[in-house]
Amino acid sequence: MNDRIPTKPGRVKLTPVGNDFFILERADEPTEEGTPLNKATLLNSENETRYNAETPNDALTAIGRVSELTIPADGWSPQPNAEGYYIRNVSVSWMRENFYPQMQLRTGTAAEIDDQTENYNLIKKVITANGMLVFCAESVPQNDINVIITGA
Amino acid sequence: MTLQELNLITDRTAADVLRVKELERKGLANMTLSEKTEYLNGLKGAYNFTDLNRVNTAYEIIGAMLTDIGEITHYTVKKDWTLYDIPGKTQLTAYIDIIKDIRSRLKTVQPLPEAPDDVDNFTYEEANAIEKILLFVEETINLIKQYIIYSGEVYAGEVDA
Repeated sequence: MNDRIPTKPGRVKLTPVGNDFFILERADEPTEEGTPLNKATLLNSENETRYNAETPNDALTAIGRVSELTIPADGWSPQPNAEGYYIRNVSVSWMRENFYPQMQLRTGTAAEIDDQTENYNLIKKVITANGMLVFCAESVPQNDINVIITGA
Repeated sequence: MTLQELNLITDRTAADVLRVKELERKGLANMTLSEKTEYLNGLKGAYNFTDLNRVNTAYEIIGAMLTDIGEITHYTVKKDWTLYDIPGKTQLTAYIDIIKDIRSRLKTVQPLPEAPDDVDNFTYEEANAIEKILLFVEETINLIKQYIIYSGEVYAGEVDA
């Protein structure tokens, strides 16, 4: 992003258009035009949709978001679905179906990590949905799994 | 190329459509030379390959203009229709979907006509509406482009929300 560098800062040209109105044009003779501050440079429509954001700050918040989450050992579907996965929905208020967050096991003691890694590895797929994550496991985890979800 | 150079058509009337029907009833073999010339040079009341090529070219122009102001578009357009081509339902649906998308992108200076729902029972008013939408959106984009603030010109808090 480049700042505008005028040689005649603040100079404008006024062209009368009648009834006390004027058209104001920059006449600052810049050596560097500068980067426009507009939707194209700050938050274009693709990023607006991608991050479910109305402002650049919303987008940055979504990208930098970190949530700790527990995937409970209970509440999994009693039977596997057509793909052979057991399903568990977990509510995540900020999640949107078009997000691509990253997930990792939350760190703990060595014993906790060993115990959880085994369960964590049962999860073969995670689907993002509006307000939730859908976990798909090849068999039902026997313990709660603590994870960290980051980004969007 | 600009929309101005394309000479978009927004003033088709019922009389234009009746003129097409009248000539079609007569048949090419029974037309006078001037009628044949009129018929073959593209009648305003008909909708044919020339209209598809003109509007698809306009879609491409407006798509690029929208992208330029941050409304990213990825329109797939076909600008080489010929007299012998017959567009399929899928192609015509895509044609209408583009104008629906263009219409939805901006709040324009002038109220926009409705985009056609589909190409079934396509009317001359709907044909006019497509090209009016394109012109109104172009007008709005040009106005937006005239009001640019550059990095370094303002400080946080200087501009009211």
